[in-house]
Amino acid sequence: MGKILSDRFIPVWVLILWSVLSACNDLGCLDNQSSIPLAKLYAMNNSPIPQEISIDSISVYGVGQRNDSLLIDSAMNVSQIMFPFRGDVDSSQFVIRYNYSWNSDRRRDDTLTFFYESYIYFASLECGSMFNYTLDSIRYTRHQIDSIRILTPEITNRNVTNFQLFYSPDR
Amino acid sequence: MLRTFNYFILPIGRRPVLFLLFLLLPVGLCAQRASTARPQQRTSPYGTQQVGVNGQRRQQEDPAASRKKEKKPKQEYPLVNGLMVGVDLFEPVSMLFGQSYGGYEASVELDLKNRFFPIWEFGIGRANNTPEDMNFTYVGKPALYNRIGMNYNFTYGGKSPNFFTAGFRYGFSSFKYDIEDITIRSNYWGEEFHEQILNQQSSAHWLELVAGIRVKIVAGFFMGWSFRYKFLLSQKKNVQSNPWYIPGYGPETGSVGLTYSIYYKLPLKSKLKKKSATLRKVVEMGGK
Repeated sequence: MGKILSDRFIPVWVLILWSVLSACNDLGCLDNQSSIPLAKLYAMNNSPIPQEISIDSISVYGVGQRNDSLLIDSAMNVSQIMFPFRGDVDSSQFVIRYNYSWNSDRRRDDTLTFFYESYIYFASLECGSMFNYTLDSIRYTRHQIDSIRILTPEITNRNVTNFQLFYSPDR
Repeated sequence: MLRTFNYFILPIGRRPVLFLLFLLLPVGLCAQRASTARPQQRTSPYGTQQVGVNGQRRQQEDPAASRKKEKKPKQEYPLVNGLMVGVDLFEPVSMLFGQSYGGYEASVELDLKNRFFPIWEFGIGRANNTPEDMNFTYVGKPALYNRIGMNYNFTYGGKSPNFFTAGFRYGFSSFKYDIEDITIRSNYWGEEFHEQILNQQSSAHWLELVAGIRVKIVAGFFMGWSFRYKFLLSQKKNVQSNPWYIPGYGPETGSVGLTYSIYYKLPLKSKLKKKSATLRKVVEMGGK
C-alpha cells in the first residue's frame, strides 16, 4: 500500500485521475427543448386495452395561425398528433381535417379547444427555458372523434403522451 | 461532447500550456524530491552495492535482511501537530480562463498526529452562464457554502513532507438564482416572448469522496490538488426551475471536481510524550 502511494507513483495517479475526468459524458437534453402536448390515436372498442390506430389523409392546423400553415398536411398513417399551444393566452384551438370525398364540404372536420394555464419554466442548461402548461379542460366536436382522455394534464418537456383521441369505427 | 469534462477543459482550450503547467506544478515538485532524495542502486557481479548520497560504498550482506533493514523508521507526532490554512486557486484561475461559474474558497484543517486531518472548507460561489445556441442567461447570485469532513494521510509514518490523502466531505449551501433574458419562439404561431424567472431560492446537500496530494514547497508552505467525486444527496427544486449551479458543488449535473490549493501550516503543536518523542527504528533481525 505504502509503495503505490509513494512520491514516485504520483504522476501515475495524476494520469489515472485525469483519465477519470475525461471519461465523464455529456448526455445533453434527454427530454425536449419545448413543451408540446402529444396525442395518440386509438380505436374506440370494447377492448380493455386501447388499440392504437393510424389514420390516412388528415390535415391539422391551428385556428388563428397567421399564415394558414398546417401542422400536418394530408399525411398518411398518422398515429399521433402534436398540438403546440400558444404561450400568451389561456386557450388554443386546432382543427383536424379529414381529406375524403364524404367531407368535401368540411362539415365533418373536428375542432378541439384546449383550456390551460401557461407558465415559464427553466428545465436545465441543456434543454433551456420554455412554456409549460397545466391543462384545465378540452372542448371538442364529435364528428369523427368519439372521446378524448387526458392522461397527463401537466404538459412539460418530458416525452410522454398527454391525451388519447378515440375514434369509433361506426362514425 | 463531454459535459463535465468540458467544464474543466474550457479554460484549458484558451491557454493550454499555462494551464497545464499550473496543474502539474505539484507533480513536478514531487518527482524532483523523489529523484534527489534516494540513494543510487548499482549492481555488480559480486552482489548489490549501495552508494550513499555522500559517495560512501558498502557491501550488502543478505538481500532479505537488508530489505528489512531498509524499512524506514516511523516518526511519531504530537496529537495536535499543526493547523493548516489553505486557499483554492483552481476556481479563480478557471474563471480567469473563461469558466462561467466558480468561487473563492478557503480551508482550515487540524493536523492530528500527521495522520487525521479534520477539515472545514468554506467559500463563496457564483455563476453567470449564457450557453451558446440557448435562450437564457443563468445568474447564480454569490452565496456561501460549507463543507466539513476528514482527510487521512496514507504517508503519515514516513519522513517525507509530502502527503497522499483520501477522505470525505459533507457539503451544504443555500442560494438564490435568476434566469434572465429568456427568449421563447413559437415557430408555428409566429410568436416571440421575452421572459425572466427571478428570485429563485434553493438549497442542496452533498457528499464528496476526496483523494489528493500535497507537496511541501518551502518551510511551512504546501501546495497540492485534490480530486473529488460528488454525490448530490438532495436539492430543492422550484415550481418554475431547477437550479443548475450549486455553490461549492458546481453544476448540478457534474459529479467530479478538482481543487488546487496553497496551504500554510501554523506551528500549533501539543506536547509530545517523552517516551515517544524519539524516533523508533523498527529493525527486525532474521525473524527474531
